[in-house]
Amino acid sequence: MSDANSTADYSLRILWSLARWIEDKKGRQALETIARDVGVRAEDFDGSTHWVSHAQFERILELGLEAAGSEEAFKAACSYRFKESYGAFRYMMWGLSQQQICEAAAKYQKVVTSVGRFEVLLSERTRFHARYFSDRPESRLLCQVRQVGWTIGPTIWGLPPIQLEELACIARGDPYCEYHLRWFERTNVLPPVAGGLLGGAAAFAAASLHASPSILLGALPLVGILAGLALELRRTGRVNLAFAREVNLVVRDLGQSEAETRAEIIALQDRQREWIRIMEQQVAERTNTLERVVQGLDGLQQARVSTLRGFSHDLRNPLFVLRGNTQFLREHVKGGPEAEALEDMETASIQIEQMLQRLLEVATQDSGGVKLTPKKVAIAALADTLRRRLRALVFGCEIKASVFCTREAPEEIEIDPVVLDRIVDNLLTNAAKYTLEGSIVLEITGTPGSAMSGGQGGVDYLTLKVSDTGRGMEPDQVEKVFRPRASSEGRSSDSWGIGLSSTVRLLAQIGGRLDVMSKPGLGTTFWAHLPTRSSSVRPPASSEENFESMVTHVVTVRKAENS
Amino acid sequence: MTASPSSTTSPSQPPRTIDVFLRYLKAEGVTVVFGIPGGLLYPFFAVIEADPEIELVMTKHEQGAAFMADGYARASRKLSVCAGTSGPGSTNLLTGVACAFADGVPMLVVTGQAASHVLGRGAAQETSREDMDIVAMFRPVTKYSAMVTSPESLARHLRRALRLALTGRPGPVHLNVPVDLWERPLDEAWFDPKTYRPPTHTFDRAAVQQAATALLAAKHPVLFAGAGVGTAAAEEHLRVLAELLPARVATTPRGKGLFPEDHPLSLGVMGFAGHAAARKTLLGSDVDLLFTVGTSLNETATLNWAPALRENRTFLQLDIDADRIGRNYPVDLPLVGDAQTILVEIVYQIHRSIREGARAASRWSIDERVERVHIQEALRDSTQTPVTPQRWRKDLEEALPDDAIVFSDIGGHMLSNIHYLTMRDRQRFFLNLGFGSMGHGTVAPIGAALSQARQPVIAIIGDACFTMNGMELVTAVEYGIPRLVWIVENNNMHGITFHAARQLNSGSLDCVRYSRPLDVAAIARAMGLATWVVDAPGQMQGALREALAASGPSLIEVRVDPNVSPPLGDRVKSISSFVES
Repeated sequence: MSDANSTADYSLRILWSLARWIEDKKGRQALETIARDVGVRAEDFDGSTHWVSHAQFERILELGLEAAGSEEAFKAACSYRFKESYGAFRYMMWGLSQQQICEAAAKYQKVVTSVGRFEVLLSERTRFHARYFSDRPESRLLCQVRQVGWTIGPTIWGLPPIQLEELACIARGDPYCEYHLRWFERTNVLPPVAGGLLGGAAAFAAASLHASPSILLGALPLVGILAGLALELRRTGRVNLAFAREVNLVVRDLGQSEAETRAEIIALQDRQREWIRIMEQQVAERTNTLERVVQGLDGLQQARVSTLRGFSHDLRNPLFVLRGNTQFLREHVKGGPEAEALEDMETASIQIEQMLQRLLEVATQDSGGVKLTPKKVAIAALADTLRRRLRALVFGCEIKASVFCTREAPEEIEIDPVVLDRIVDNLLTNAAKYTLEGSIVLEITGTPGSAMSGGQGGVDYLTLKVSDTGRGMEPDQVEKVFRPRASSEGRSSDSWGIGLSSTVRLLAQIGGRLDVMSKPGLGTTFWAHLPTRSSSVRPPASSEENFESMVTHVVTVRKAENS
Repeated sequence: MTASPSSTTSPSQPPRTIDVFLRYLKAEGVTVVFGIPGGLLYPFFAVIEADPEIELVMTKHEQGAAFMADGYARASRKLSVCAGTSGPGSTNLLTGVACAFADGVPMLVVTGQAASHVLGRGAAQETSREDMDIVAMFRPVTKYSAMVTSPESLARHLRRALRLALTGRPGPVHLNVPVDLWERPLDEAWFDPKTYRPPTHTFDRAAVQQAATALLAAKHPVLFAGAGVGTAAAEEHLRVLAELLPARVATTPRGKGLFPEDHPLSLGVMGFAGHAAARKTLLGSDVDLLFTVGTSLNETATLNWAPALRENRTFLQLDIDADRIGRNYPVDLPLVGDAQTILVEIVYQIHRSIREGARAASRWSIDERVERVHIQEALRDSTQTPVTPQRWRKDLEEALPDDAIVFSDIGGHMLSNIHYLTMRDRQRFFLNLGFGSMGHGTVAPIGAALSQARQPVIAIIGDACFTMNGMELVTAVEYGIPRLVWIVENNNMHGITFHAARQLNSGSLDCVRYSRPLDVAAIARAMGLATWVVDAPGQMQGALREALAASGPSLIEVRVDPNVSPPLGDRVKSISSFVES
C-alpha cells in the first residue's frame, strides 16, 4: 500500500447510500467484494466513521459506477434510502430552513472530508452559491456524488430536489468546483428576448411593407418583450406557487405530527404517573409485610433471650449445690491428690458461674453493653412514626389508636435512636398485646426537669404517655412485672414479657423514668420520661441485685384513679 | 433571671428604655423585626440593627413590613414585630395590621412619634392626639393601641400589649413611642413573661364530658374546622378525634389543609369555592351532630349563613373567643377555650368511656373514602395550551413537597387554590380571607420563609396581586431566601372581577383587563429572581423542582387560559343577594 492509501481523506459515511444500494440490489457479496478490493471491511460502510484515502475513495466510486451500470443509475444509487442516511440528524433537520441546511452542509463538510472545504459566496433565502476547494485531484464522479448530496436535501420533507447549476469543476481543470443552488424556479430571460425580437421583426416587416414608419410600429418590440415577460412570470409564478403549496402541506403535516407527539408524551407521562402510583402502592404493601416479618423475628428473638435467661438462671441453682458441696469437702480433705482434685473442681465451678453470669448479662442487657450514640430526633417526625407503628400493631383489631403531641412536648430530643426505638416498641407492643378491644392513646408531651422528683432541674424530659383499655393489673402484680423472674415463672402468653424489664434497663441507662398506673379491668397507663439531652451515661446494670435497685430507682407506681 | 437576655449597654451604665424594650422582646422569643427606618423611629432601628440577636428586615413599603410580620407569625405561631416611622410610615402599616386583626395573628406594631415635648405644636410628621391621632387610627384594628408617654410607663404598656397579643384569641397590638424616650435611662424591676402573661389553656370539664358523650352517641358526626385549629396547633388532635369516632371532617376555606384533604374522612372545604361533598353533607339531613372548631361561622364558611347548617342536629361550637359563640347560629353546647386543650380532653374523655364499655355509635367508616368531585373536573386533565388553571394545579400537586407551606393571595386564583389544590398531611395552607387584602399572599410568604427556614414556602398568587405588592420580592432577593417560590398565575387581568361581572351581567368591567400583556417573569428577572415560564401541561413539576433547588428566591409565571372562569358560583350568588336585598 502506498502512503496515499493510508491517509484519512474521506469518510465512508458519504457512501452510505451507495453501499446500501449495492447491498440491497447486488447482494452483500458484491459490497464485500468492493470492500476487499479497496482494502476495507464491508462493515465499515454501515454508518461508521471509517476514513479512507483519496485513491481508495475514487476506486470505490469506480467500482460503484461499474455496479450501477450507467451514470444516471449511479446518481440514483447515491441517493438511495436517503432519509435513513442522516440517522437521528434528520429530526434536527426538520427544524431548519433550506438556507440553514445549505450553510450547515458547507460548514460541516469537514465531518466527512479532511481534504476539501467550502467557501460560501452567497447565502440567501432562495439561493446559495458556494465553491469547493480540494487538496486532491478529485474525479468527476466525486463531484457528482457531492452534487447529489446537495440537491437531495429537500426530499427529506417530500419536496422537489434543489436545482443545482454547476459553474466549474476540478475534474475539468478548474481550481475549484462551483455550484449555484436555488429552490425556486428561476425567471428565464429567453421569452422576453424572443418576444422582443419577434416584435422587432414584425415592426421591421410592417415598416418595409408600408414604408411609412410610425410610433405604433416602434412600440412593437416593447410589446413583444412585455408579452414574453408576462408569459414567463406566469409560468414561474405557477411553479413557485405549487412549490409553496407543497411546503405548506409539509409544514402542516409537521405541525400535526408535532401535536400528536406532544399528546403522546402527555399520555405517556400520565401512564408513568399511574405506574409510579401502582409501584408505590406495591412498595408500601411490601414494606408492610416486611415490617410484620421483622416484628415476628423480634418476638422470636425475645422468646429466645428469655429462654436463655431462664436456663442460665436455673443452671445456677445446681451449680450452687455443686460449689457448696465442693467447699464442704475441701474443708474435710487436707492435702493429697483428692484435695488437688477438689481445688480443680472448685476453680472449674467458679469459672462456670462466671460464664453464666456473663451469659445472663448478655441475655438481659438487650442493648446494654452497646455504645450509645445519641442523635437529634425531631418530635414531629417521631409522632408520625409512632402513629404508623401503633396503627400497624393494632391493624385488624377492634382497637382505636390515637397518637398526638401536646404543646408541652419538646421540639427535639437527643437520644440513641436504637434505645428510643426499643423503649417505644416495648411500650406499644405491650399495650397492643394486652388490649383486645377499646382504645390506646399515646400522648407525646413534655415534663420540665424541675417537676421530676429528684431531678436536677436542668434537663427537661420527653414524656410518652401510653394509656390502654386492656385488662389492667392488681397492685402487687404491678410490682412484679418489672422483675424478669416474673416472666420466667409463667412463660405463657399472659405474662408481661421481658419487654418491661428491658425498658427499665434502657431507661436507667439514659437517666429516664417510668411511671405506671393500672387497675384490673380498666387498663394501664405508662409514662416513660426520657431526658431531652443525653447526659452522663450510667453503666448498665450487671446483676440481679443491681436490677432490683434499678427498678426502685426508675419505676414509680401511681395510685390508680377511682372511676 | 438567669436566662435573661443580654443588654446592649455595659453593666456600669443604667439601661436605656430601648434596652428594656428589647429585653422583653427577646424574652418572648423575637428574633426578627420588619420595618423601614425613618427619622422619628431612628433610635429604635439603630439599636436593633446593632443587636446581634435580632435581625432587622428592611422592606420596600411599610405595608410589606406588616404583611411579612403577619406571615412570620402565622407560620411560626409566635409573636412577630413590625415597625414604621411616624406619619405615612404608620398609616402604611394599617392594612397589614387589619389583616392580622381579622385573622387573629399575634403581632406587636411599633410606630414613631414626634418628641414628647413638642407634641401639639405641629412637628414634622406629628400624629399625636391633638393632630392626626395615630393611636386612634390603630384602635379599631388592634387589641390594644396606646402612646407611651414616659419611659416609666413603657414597660407597663408593653407587658399589657404582649399579654393581650398572646392570650385568648391572639391579635395585633400597637405602641406609639415619641422619639425622645428611647434613649432615656430606665431602671425598672424585670418581669418574666410567665409572671405577666398567663397561659389560657383552660377548659370546662362538665362541657367536655357532655361533648364526649354527644360525640360518642352521634351516628353521623361531622367536625367543621376553622383556622382556629391552626392557631391552637390542634391539627393532629382534630385528626385523632376524627379517627377515634370516626367523624367526617370539613374545613372552612381559611382552615383548608388543617385536616389532610387526601384523608378518607375528609369532606374537603365547606363554603367559598368549596367542594360538593362538604356542602351536601353539612347541609344534608343525615348529619345528627355538627362540631365546629375554631371557626366564627362567617359568610365565606357557611355559604351565606345557610340555615340548613343548623337544622335537625346537635350543634357544638368550640372557640377561644366567647364573643364568637352563638353569633350566627344558636349553639347546643358551647366550648370556650383553646382547641388543642379541649380536643385532647375530649379524646381522653372518650378513651375513658371506652374503658368503661362505651362504644362510638358513628356509622361513618374510615375505609369508605369520601370522593372528591371538582367543578369542571375535565379541565384537570386538559392537554390544551395555554394550560388551564385546573391542570397546572394538578401538576403542581405532584411536585409539591410534603412539608410545603402554601400561601394564597386574594382573587380568582384563590378560588382555584381552595377548590383544586389537595393539601396533604404536613402541608400547610394560609390565606387572609378574614380581611381579604390583595398583596398579602404575595408578601407574607417572605416572613413565613424567614421563620421556617427548613420548610419550602410556595406563594400561589395572581398577576394583579403581583402588580400591587410585587416590589417586595426585591426584599426576598436582598435577604437571599432559598426555597421560596412565587407561582404567578397570569391571565392578564383581575380574573375574579372580570368573570364575576360576566356572570352577574352587570356591565363588562373591561377596565380590569390589561391593555398589553404583563411579562411577570421578565420583571422578576430584573429584580434578581430565578424565573421559569409555564404555559403547557406537564411543565410545572420540573419548573417547581428546579425553583426549589435554586440558591435564592424564584418565580414561576404560569400563563393560563384567561377564558377559564374560577369556581366562583357561591360568591357571585351572595354578592347578588346583597345588591338585591
